[in-house]
Amino acid sequence: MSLFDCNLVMEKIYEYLDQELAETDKEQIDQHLADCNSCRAEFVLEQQITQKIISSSWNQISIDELVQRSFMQLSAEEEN
Amino acid sequence: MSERDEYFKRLDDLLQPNYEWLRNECRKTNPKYRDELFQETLVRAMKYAKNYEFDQDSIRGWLKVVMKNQSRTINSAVRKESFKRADNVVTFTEEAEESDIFDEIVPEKYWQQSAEDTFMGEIDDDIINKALNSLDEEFQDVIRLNMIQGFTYAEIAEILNIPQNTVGSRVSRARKKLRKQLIELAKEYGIKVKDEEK
Repeated sequence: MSLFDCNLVMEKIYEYLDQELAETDKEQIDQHLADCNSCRAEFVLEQQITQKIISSSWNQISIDELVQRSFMQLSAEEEN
Repeated sequence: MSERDEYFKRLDDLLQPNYEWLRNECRKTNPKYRDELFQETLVRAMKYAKNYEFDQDSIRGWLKVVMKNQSRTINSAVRKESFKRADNVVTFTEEAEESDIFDEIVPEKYWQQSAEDTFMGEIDDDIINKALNSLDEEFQDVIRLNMIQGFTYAEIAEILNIPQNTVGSRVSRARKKLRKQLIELAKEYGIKVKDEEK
């Protein structure tokens, strides 16, 4: 049995996903997740949100901008 | 058109069909370095194209090899940096042990996949952008550093010059808010959200 209840687990969810937790806390959460369907569903949802955010176009430098930077770098390197 | 402009235009015409593909390949690597990887790979390709005739059929295979080599170059630079900063508050030891950023599709912390479906499957890029843009700037900043670029809380604390405890609580508030926004927008767009996801 985990010493952590659902509230405490949800409080630490991001630290857990970001691997910022001490080993003892992490073990408690692992134990809790093994038994608790609703918390596990929350963790799955959070992971899926993260994956979507990572692959989204938000705040990405555009391809045009990157290509332009590459040409500038090429110019600079060729001058040297 | 100057000689240089003509030369650049020729390179652009030659490589242009591969820009989007290359960008997508680079986006499969570590988010911290993917733009650098794109740029370095493209510059190497441009230099190569100056002296050799490119064959459009083989260009992608070739770009992939260049990208792999560039990812190794970036890796060794990261390792050197971690060595230099070993006595600093921020250590990059974990990062330095990573074998090859090219193989790191997404940071390890996000590897765990699940077969279970959530409403996120139906969330598109527009909704993601809307949700993120609706957040306060301070929250957007931590989401960029924490979720997209994968910095540790200690690194974020140093970058934003705030205590590490504050990073933890700000990350937590930002991501809760983001999740709430996503759920609200999903409902607005008529996407079914399960009870346990509310």
